[in-house]
Formats: sequence, structure tokens, C-alpha cells
Amino acid sequence: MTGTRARLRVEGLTRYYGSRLALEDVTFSLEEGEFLVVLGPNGAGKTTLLKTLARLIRPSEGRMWLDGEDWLAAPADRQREIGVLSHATYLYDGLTALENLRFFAALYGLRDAANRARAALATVGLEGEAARRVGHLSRGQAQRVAIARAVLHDPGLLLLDEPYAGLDPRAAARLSDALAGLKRAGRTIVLTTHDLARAPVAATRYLLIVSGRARSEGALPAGDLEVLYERAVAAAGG
Amino acid sequence: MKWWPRSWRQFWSTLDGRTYHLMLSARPWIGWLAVGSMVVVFGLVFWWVPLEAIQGYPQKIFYIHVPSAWVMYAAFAVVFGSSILYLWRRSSLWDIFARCAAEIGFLFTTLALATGMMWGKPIWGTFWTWDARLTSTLILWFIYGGYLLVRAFARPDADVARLAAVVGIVGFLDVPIIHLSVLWWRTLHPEPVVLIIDDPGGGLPASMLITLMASLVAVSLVFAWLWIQRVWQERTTENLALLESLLERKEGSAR
Amino acid sequence: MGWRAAGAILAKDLRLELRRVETVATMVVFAVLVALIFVFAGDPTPEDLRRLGPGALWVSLLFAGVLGFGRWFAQEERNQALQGLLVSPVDRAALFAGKWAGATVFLLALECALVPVTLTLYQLDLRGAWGQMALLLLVVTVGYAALGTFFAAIAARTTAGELLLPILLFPLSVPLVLAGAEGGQALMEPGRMGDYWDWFSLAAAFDVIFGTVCTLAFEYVIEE
Repeated sequence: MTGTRARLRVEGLTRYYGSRLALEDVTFSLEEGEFLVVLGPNGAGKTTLLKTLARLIRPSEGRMWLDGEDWLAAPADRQREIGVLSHATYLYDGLTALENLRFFAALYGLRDAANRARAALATVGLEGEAARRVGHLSRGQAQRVAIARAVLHDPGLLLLDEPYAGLDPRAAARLSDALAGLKRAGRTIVLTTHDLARAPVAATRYLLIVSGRARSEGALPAGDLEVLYERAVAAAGG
Repeated sequence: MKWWPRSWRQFWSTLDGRTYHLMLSARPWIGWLAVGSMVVVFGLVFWWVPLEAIQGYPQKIFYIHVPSAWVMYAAFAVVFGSSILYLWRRSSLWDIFARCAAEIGFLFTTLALATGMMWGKPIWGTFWTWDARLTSTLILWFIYGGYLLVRAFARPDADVARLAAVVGIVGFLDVPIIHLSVLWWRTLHPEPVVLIIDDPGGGLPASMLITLMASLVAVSLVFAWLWIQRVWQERTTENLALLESLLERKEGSAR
Repeated sequence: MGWRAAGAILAKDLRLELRRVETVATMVVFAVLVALIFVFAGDPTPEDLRRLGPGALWVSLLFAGVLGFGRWFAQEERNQALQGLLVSPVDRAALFAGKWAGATVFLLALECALVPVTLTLYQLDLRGAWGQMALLLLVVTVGYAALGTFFAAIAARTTAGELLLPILLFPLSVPLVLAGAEGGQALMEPGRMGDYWDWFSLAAAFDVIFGTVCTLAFEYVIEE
């Protein structure tokens, strides 16, 4: 069910790297408040898709709309509508957690940067570590600061690329909780992962991508997800 | 393909294809023209144009040296123009134009340097002198080299064409400034060796001027010929790779 | 809006550097060593020293700069911080402006140490023209910082980055080196202020042209 009221709409996204086809004709749409999980094996094109959605790279073909507005042609300032989290934290190891957040607050032109940074740090439960350099934090803690960074400017759409990579079970659980909380707060989320077991409980839909093409999609939770996955991978030639 | 466009819009949208077709149409005969004109120039240089009074035989290198330098700049201008067009049109054709022009331009730069040095040895007694033009040519050689190295060493996931286009544009913009600064530098610290006037239009006798012009045309034709060949070669290779990948994908989805 | 972001980036880079003053400190040591080595390598007479001095200053600066540019970009590669910047509403020109300003500040800091040392080692006498020397330093540094930041980003996208940066940077920086060395030379000889201003203008024009070109072209370098 698509319509101009859709939060995010994507049509025919295609991306070549030289003669190699990384993404082929991907089409889907997301309503507000939905939580989409993009599944697929390594090299399937999930990261390429996410980078395209984040406007880090331009698609070779295809169109995108954010809230009915042409997302491809939108000015750079509209980047404040999205928040991005990757398995890399985008943080500076030499700065403290608070300094990092204050920097991003200034970058996004947020008023009252200091307080917002402090508040964001509190929401991920790390006020105590505000004065610690990010380089001295554990991976799980750094990832939490990264989450704070991603939602600092209150974006409506969150894009997460393999955020569970390198997290121990406790940190992964915390991440899932945080994501559930974000979804409850009404944000639209797109998350990519290659690990079926790690698909967060709060997710509402899935999209299966193998070798650059969307093979199947549907609602979550889905009982036969593993079977679908295996079949899609086999159909694409392993 | 009709050459004359019906509207500005059509002109811009079909620019890439028409340019390529224009070049292709020249491919069969330009080689013969280039070789023929070089033969004519050879004859002019060795049998017609009189011997220069002061320098004697070595002066004849002038008829290769100056046109090589001219082509060197022309090639860089092609790189510049193609790079801008590539960033604008994002069609790989312009990238092919740029990289082939850079390759062959680099060759001609080396030739200009070499002939400059060969000319210098009998005249100045030394292979190298910090003459303004020779120095500028050497710097240009490095800039060209840098461009080619960037292309050679770009990471596989980086957009080589875009990176190289930027290098080509910035490099070319610097050339006049480098020229000017080196010239100033030389006027402040003049060479002890008296430089023989080698500037066309600086009082050359008519026969020498004619030979020089002829050589300019001939060498330019050689450049154009080499360039068109190379572009055609690259374009065909690219088409082949594209066809291969299309076929692969067809087989893949048929499975 | 872009200016605020550029300012934030500059502030961030300054804070990072002040915390562990490794890059600028290393550059200072390296630059002084280069200046020294020139003397050892040439065994110059006092006259030679005075003639080579201005040149040696700029050569040291050039080499030390190459070290620095690479480092300042490397810190954006860790944790893919650069992507974090690219995903934000900051436009690419402002991003470049911020990095350019940072590089300029660091190079100027380097010069604060390098210039007195070189003047002493090479027994150079500025004849009181400190203001003009500072101006010349500023104008050449701004231009070099622009080229260096720009090409460091390009070199970072190649596999031979550290080797490629000087190859790309040095030929294009020749006008700046000439302006600095000749301008400095003109200051040390009586009655040559006209020459000094000529070279200063050349460097200033260079800065305007390449500052603009690099700022505008940066988005093509950074985009994937």
C-alpha cells in the first residue's frame, strides 16, 4: 500500500560499480512508524542500499521520496531528517563522549548544544562517562554514544547498517531495547543485518535482498523466515 | 546519425554520441594524413629549409621540439575540457577522452623534454639548463605523471574517473601560474648562458616559419591520430566488458 | 549556517590536536631537522647560507606539511568519522573550509617555531621587515594548506596515498615556493620592495583562485 503519505518510498533503485551490479531495481515503501529489517547475506547489497538511502552515494538509476518530497534532489540541509548508525561509530576517539555530542550538535546547528548533548547522553545511560574519551570506552559503550549521536537532532527516519556487529549479547540486548524505545517514540527505522537471529523483536517488516535484488518481503514476526532466506540464497545461485 | 541538431535540447542530450561518431568518421583516413604530412615535413626540414647560421644542423630539432611542446599543452587542454564535461555529463566517453589525451600528452611532454635536452647539448654544452620553458615543461611532466599515477593507484571502490577529472582540472588551472612564476624567477636570476631565440614570430625567416607551421600541423595530426585510435580502443574494450556482464546476468537469472 | 559548521569542524580539529600535540610537535622537529640537514649536506659559506636560507625555510615547511596533511585526514578515517560528517547537513564546501582552516592554523603554529630557528641557523637578517615576512608567510601558508588538504583527500582514495601526496602536491605548489623564497630574498636585500609585492600578489592571486576551485571541487572528491 503506497501513497504520497508514505514516510519513505523507493522505486527502481539501481547502482553499478563499474560493470558490477550492486543493487538492481529495488522498490519498497515504508509508512510512518514502521520498522523495516533488510536481510541478506554478505555482499548482497544491503550496505549499498543503506548508503543510498542516507544519500552518501547516488544511485545509478531509480528514485526516492521522503515524505512525498524528491529525496534525491533535496538540498543538503534536509539531511537533518535522517539519523544514521553504522557498525562504525563516526566518533572521534580523542574527544570525550560529551565533546563528540556537542560537536555534532553544533554541526547540525542545534540550539542549546551543551544541554541537548548532555540529555542525549542521559537517554543512553552514559552520563557518568561524559568526560571519558571515546577511545577509552568499550565497544558497547561507544555504540551507545553513537546511538545518542544518531538521534541527537531528533530525526524522523533512522538508518542502521549492521549495528549489532561486534556487540556482546548484553550490549546487543541494550541496543534492541533502545531500538524498541525509538520505535515506540514513533520513529521510522530501517535496519540491515545478515544475522537472522539478531533481527530485533520490535521490527514490523522485512525485506530480503540477495545479489542486489529484492527477493521477498513481508510482515514480522514471520515463522518461515529461515526457510525463505535459504531458498532465496539458493535461487540466486548461492 | 544526423549531425545537425534540431534544437538546443537535442544538441546537449546527444552531444556524447555525436562527438564519438564524428571522431570515428575520421579514423580511417587520419592515420594516412598524419603519416603523409610527417613525410612532407621531413622533406622540408632536411632538404628545403636553409641551415641556420649560428647553430647549424642541431637547430633542426626545433622543428620537432616546438610542435611537441604545443601538442603537450593542447593535450592538457583536452584533458581539462573532457574532465569538466565528464563531471557535468557523467558519461564514460569523456573520461575515455581525458585519460587517452593524458597518456599521449605525457608522451609528447617527454618528447618535448628530450628534444629540448638534445638540442641543448650541442648548443649550450649541457643537457640541462634552468631555462624558463624547459623548467615549466618539466613541472608539467610531473603534473601529467601525477594524473596518471592517481588513475593507476586509485582504490578499487573509488570512482577513478571522478578523482582523475578533478586532478586534471586543478592541474591545468595551475599551468599558466606556474609558467608566470618560473618566468619571473628566471628574469630575476638570468642564466649566464645566452639563450638562442627559438620563439616563432620573433624574426624568423619565411622559409623557417613555413616549415614550422607545417610541422605544427603534422605533429598535431599525429597526436589526433594516436588519440582517436586509443579512444576507439578503450571504448570498444568497455563495450565488450559491458556485453560480457550483461550476458552473465542473463545466464544468472535464467538459472 | 555553513560557517557555523566549518567553525565547529575547525574547533574540533584544534581540540583534538591540543589534546595530544603529536602531529604539530613531530612536524616541528622534522622541519628543523630538514633545515639542519641542508647545511650538513652543502657545507655552505656564510654567503651561501644567506642565499639558501629563505629556500631552505620553504623546503622544510613543504616537507613537514606533507606529513601533516596525511595525518589530519587519517583521523577522519578512524571510526569512519568522515561518513558521519557526510551524512550530516553540512555542505561539502563548508567541510573543506573547516579542514582548510585547521591545516592553516597548524602550519602557522609550525612556522612560529621554524622561522626563528631558520633565521638563526642561516644567519639571515630581515632588516626589520618582520611584518612583511609574516604577511608573506601567511599568504603562502593559506595557499599551501588549501592544496594540501584537497590533495590529501584525493591521495586518501588511492592505495599509494603517502607517496602520491608529495608527487601531486609539489609541482602544483611551485608558484607558492617561488613566491615565498623570492619574496623573502627580496626582503633581505635593500631597495627591492617592488619585487616583494609582486611575489606577494602572485601568492595572493594563487590563494584566491585555488581556494575557490578547491572549495567548489571538494564535493567531487569526497562523494563516493
